[in-house]
Order: sequence, then C-alpha cells, then structure tokens
Amino acid sequence: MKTTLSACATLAIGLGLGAGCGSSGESVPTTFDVDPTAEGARVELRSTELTADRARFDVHAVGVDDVYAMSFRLRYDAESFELESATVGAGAASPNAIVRAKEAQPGLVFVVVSERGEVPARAWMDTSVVELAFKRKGPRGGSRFAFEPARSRILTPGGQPTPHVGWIGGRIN
Amino acid sequence: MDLHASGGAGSSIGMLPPAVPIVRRGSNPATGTDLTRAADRSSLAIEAIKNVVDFDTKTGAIDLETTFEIAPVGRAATLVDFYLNPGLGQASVDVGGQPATVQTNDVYGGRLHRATFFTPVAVGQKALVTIKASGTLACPAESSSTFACAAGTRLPYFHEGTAIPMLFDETGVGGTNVWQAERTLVARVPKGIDVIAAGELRGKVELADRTETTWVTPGATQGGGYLLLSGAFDAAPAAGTRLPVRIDTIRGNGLWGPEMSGWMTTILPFIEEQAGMPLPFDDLDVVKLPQDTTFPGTVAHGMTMLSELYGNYGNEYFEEVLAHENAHHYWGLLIHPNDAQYTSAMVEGMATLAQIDYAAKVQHPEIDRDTFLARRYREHRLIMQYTTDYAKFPPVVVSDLSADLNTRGKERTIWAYMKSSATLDHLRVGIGDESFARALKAYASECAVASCDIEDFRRNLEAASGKSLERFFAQWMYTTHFNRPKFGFQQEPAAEGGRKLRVEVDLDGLLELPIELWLTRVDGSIRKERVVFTVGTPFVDLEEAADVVSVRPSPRHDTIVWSESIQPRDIDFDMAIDGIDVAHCARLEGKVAQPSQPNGEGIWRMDLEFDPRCDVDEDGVIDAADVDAVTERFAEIASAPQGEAE
Repeated sequence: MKTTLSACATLAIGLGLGAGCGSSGESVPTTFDVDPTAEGARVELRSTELTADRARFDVHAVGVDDVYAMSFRLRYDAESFELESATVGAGAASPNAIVRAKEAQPGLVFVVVSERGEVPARAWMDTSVVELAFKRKGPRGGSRFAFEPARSRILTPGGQPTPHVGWIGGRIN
Repeated sequence: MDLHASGGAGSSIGMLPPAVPIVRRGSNPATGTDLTRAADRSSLAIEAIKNVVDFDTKTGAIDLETTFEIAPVGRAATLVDFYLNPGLGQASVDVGGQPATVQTNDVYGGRLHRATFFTPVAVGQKALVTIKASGTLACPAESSSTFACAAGTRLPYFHEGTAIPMLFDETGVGGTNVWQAERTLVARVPKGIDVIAAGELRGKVELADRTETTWVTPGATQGGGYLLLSGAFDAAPAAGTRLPVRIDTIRGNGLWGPEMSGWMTTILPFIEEQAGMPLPFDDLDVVKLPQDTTFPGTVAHGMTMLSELYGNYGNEYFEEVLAHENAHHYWGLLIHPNDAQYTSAMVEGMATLAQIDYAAKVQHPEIDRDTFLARRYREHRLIMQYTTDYAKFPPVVVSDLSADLNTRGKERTIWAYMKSSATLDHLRVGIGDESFARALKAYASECAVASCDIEDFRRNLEAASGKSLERFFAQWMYTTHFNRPKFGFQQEPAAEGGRKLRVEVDLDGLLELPIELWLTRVDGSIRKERVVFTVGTPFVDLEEAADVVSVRPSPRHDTIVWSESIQPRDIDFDMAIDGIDVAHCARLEGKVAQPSQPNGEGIWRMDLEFDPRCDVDEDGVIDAADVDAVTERFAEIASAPQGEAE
C-alpha cells in the first residue's frame, strides 16, 4: 500500500514519478511503502511528512483495548536518519504518563508511553499514540523502518502483553 | 552509580566465609555443632511406654500413671527428666522398686521434673520406671503455649508434656520419642464423652462411670507428640479415599465439614505421592478445631487437626493449609529429623513446600507451574527482605540454639516456614524437579520411623542428582546469604548456523551457583537450561538456533538469589533498559512491600505484584523516585545490541 504524503509528494505520486522535489534538487524518496498489514489489533507506521529534510510518522494503534502502556523498538538506516523528536498523541495517555523516545544507538530508537500506578485502562481503537520525527542525514537514500516485534509490546493494566498485536513498519523508497 | 554495585548492604552480605568441607554425616560443618543422630546420642534404650490417664474433661482433674523400662546405653543411667503440667504438682517416681528424688523447675509453661535415681542403673541392666501424678490441669490461656491443654470447654484436650510426661534422658536427648518406643495410652473419661487420641484405637471398654479407650502408636519417632482430644464430635467419612478418613467436627458446628471432606480426596493422594509411600495408619481423623482452640493445627499419629480460623482467608487458603497440615504426617511426624531444633527445613519447610505444590497442582493447574511457584515464593522474599534484618537473619540450619528461635513467634515463622521452603525450592530448581522428587522419596523411605538429619537429606539429593551439594549447603543452608549475582550475555552467529551464546555471571561472592537459566527466544519461547556457575568458570557457552532476547535465572530462584542484570535497572534481563522495563515499574508505582495490603494475598496479605527490582532505593515502597530512577537510564544498552536481523 502506498501512502500519500506531503503536498510535494502528492504531486509526485499524481504524476507517477519516482523523483521528488527536495530543496537540494537531488533525487529524494517520496513514497512510503507500508508493510503488508492484516486485520486485528495492530500498531502501524503512518507517514505524515516526507521531505528532503525530514520523515515524520504517526505511530498509530488500531483495535487495541485494555491498554496501559506501549513499548517498542524501531530500527532504521542510521546513515540516512536520526531521531529528531517525539510527541505523544492527543488523548493517547494521561498527562501524568511517562513518554520517552531515545536513540539507544544509531538506527535504533526505543519508545515508551506508559501510565503510572493504578489507572483505568485506555482503548486505542484508532489512535495516534506518538508522532516520531526523523531528520535526514547523509546519503538521501531509502530506509526501512522496522519494529522489533519480539521486543515491542502493548501491556494491559494487569501487566500482561496484549497477544497477537501486529507491528507494521514500512520502507521509504 | 548502581546502588547494588556500590558496596551497599547487598554487597556486604554477599561475602561468604571460606568453604568448609562437610565430612561428617550428621554434623553441622559451619560450627561443628554435634547433630549426630539423637537415638545414637541417647544414653537410654526404651522399647515401650505406657500411659494410663484418667481425665475429668469438665474439671481438668487428672490421675496419671506412666511406666516404661529403661536400658542404659554407654553409661550408667542416673536420672530421667520429664515435663508435666504444673497443675499436677510434683510427680512421684519409682525406679526398680526404689523411689527417686524429684526436683521441679517451671519453664516454657511446663513443669520440668528431674528424677534422680537412688541407685544408678548400670549398663547391661534394665529397670522399670513408674511415674505417678495427680491434680488438676492448669491450662494457659495464651495460644502459643508449648504445653497447651483445655478443660471445661467444648474441646477438652491435652498435649504430651501436660497429662502425660514428655521424656528426656540425662544427656538431654528425648522429647520426640527418639527411642522409637511403642507407646500406649489408656484414656478414661466420663461416660458419654468422645475421645480422639494419637495412635490406633485398640480397645474401648465401658466402665461404671468411665469410658476407657486404648490407643497404641507403633514404635516410631513421633515428632508431633502425643495428643488427646475429647468432647462431642460428629464424624463424617470422607468419600473416595484409599485410607478411611473421618472429618470430625464439634457437635453443632459442622461448618466446613463437607468442604474438608472433599479436599481430603485430593490431599491424601497428593501427599502420599510426594513422599512415595502410603500413610501407615489404620485410619485418619481430620478434626476441625474451633477458632477458640489455643493451637491452630497440628498432627499426631492418625490425626490431623486444623482450626477453622483459616477459613477466614478463603476456601482455597483453608484447603492448602489443610494440605500443609496433612503433609506433616510425613514431614515432621513419621519423618522427624533429630536436628529439628536446629532446622525446620524438613518439617515446616517441607510442609510449606508441599502446601504450595498442592495449590499449584490441584487448585491452579491452569497456571504455568513455574510462574505460580515463583509468585507464591515472592511472598516469602518480600517478608524476609522487608520485615526482617535479613542480613542477620538465622540460616536455615542454625549453629546453636542461643537465638532460641522456637520462642520467637514471627521470626520463627519466617525462618521455619518461609526461608526453609524457599531455600528448598531454590535447591529443587537448581538440581531439577525430577531429581528432587526422587531424593525426597528416597529420604522418606530411609528416614521414616527412623532418626535422620539434614545431612541424610543432602546425601539423598546428591545420589539422585549426581551432583555434590557441599557448596550449596555451605552457602544456603548453614549460612545466611542473599547474594546478588549479575547476569549478562553475548551472542553471535555460529559458523555452522544458529547462534553462539555466552552467559556470564558476576557471582557476588558466591562460590558456586547451580541455577536454571531461562533463555527467551525471539519467537517468545523459553529454553530452560540447568547450569552451574563457579568462581573458576563464571560463564557457560550455549548454542541456539535463533536469536535470544533475554537470559535470566528461573524466577523461582528469586526468593533466595537476588539476581540482577549486568545492566543496572534492566528489569527483564535483556541487557537494555527499554519501555518494557519502564512500564513494568511504572505500573507498580505506589506498591508497598509490607503486610496487610488492600489487594494482599495469603495470611499476611502481601501484595505479590511488588517487584523488588523496581524498588531502587529498597525502602519497601515503589514510589515515583524509583520509577524515575529506572526511566532516567532509559535506552541504555549494556553491550552489543541484541537486535533482530532484518
């Protein structure tokens, strides 16, 4: 599936072109191909901005109820991107929640959104949980953005991992 | 700096004394305290003891005559000691037709008599000893009295040491019938009063105004002591048990009777399978004690007694405590270690282990056994870590009795029940459940109706597992340590495919760590591997087909071995502090490691969700500062990334 991106990217897609319109005039990837997805509870990357300078993703949860926390690791090409910022989505967590995103090493970001103490469960049926912005660096090639499913999970208020959550990344081409 | 690695309390208690070789069977290697078999140490041989007791259940009036024949061993016999209830005054003692000189001293709520013989009985001679006493039982009101009794209540009763003497030889050996003498109790009570006493019922005679029953306990070590209950009982047979079982309730209070009857159908086969032998009784009376009884539960030959007060903690808890009490028929009664004053590992420790095993197997088969056991033993860790001065807490086997644990209520409970059972489970995981189960059966077979000690158990464990447990016993039985070994691992592709894994441990002063490692694979499956880390080889090399996500000890070790990741604040042992660690501790914010918690479990009402690894400052509360201390190190990775290949 291809996701429509910024105005520039929209134009590129509309023209059926692979080339973008980066400010430097170089060829800039303009499309984000989302990995095959499936029905059911999932967390997926949705590209919200893809420019010559930046890639921005909405980490979007679908069909997940009974949520207390989300933790994930996301890998990408360290020569092409570095984490710039992370912003929790409106309504995704309480004001008291812990929200952290940090590059544990180049090309690997750890993210956590977690409540503290005993709080009611949340439902993330169609929810922007966190927005991640990556700054471009180095060669302006593509990059795969892949979750590490074995080290990523959504936790219930009882501390149990929610089973059968799909972690859907993608690739900037 | 990491609190644990900075030389705090955890490090200081991690230091062990040099290994002390264990060479003498039945001796404490840490101190040299003599724990040789009590029967071997006794200066007497006694083949049979007969007690004839007339008990007025309403007034407590007692008329007692006890007879037994002594044969001195190794030295001439000059005296015997025995306890009786102070209400019986001073007993008279006749030895071989001559009166003995009797002196008394009141201790532990009993009256200790010392009967000094007029003429010593030489080795090779025998002498008949007759003790006579009469009076009215003076029964203490407090529940913890060593020599409890009651009269004029719904449940008149007496223990050994009150209306029948508890005997010792002149070297202090005795108290639990170490001579394995056959014991007979002839009990006379007013007509119409029921009696349930220790032993097999061998006769019942109606006299003019008395009912006389005769109870015989075959020659056996009887750790539970002698006991007689009387009153008016309703007896209902339990259905479907191999051994005839009666549930006895005080007439008019049948509450819990049907439940106890049902529970015994699963408890009995469970405890018999664990010990590997059937209970050698003609039948079994399970007596539900009313809440106002001054003792909450015990066992004697053919008798199980348990107070209905345990029903206050719910059906499941009552049931598992009933399993605990019945397990004592093996662990404490038939198999009564002669070092029971020095260690309760094979008495209360084993009964508690059996209780928790029962709950896992019978009550909660739907829960993974390791998970269930780890959670239950966490209660023991929290109590030891947060309610005691754990660094100074007595070892499982104490070296002397000066601490007198047997009179320190709460501490004795923690020592005898919790620390002992948790240490046994830690040992069990280390050598494997199957080996432990085989050793237990072999030990039971060897030591039932015999005189054994903790070293006999060790010998059976070593035979079953094929491993020396010398260091294990030195580290966790004979001394107190809560070490904090730190675990790390590295992995790399193997030339022949798959992954080569090295697990390394900072042993924190331990000489040896036999442990079950849990390797969580990338697909979520767990490989369980028993390994032994030593000072000389503090690592193991393993091969795996796929990427390994985390490596940690089985959580069943956690109560005794306070393990940590080599990466400080890495709660789940994946060598990194990620959101799973942060969320785990954040969820526990506000938890308190003290009894009487709102969602607490068990009789102490401890919150078993409390994870000590999240209590960074170890103050017993997981507060915001603890969570922040974990969060501050978010995204730290200990070494090379343990990442998934793209």
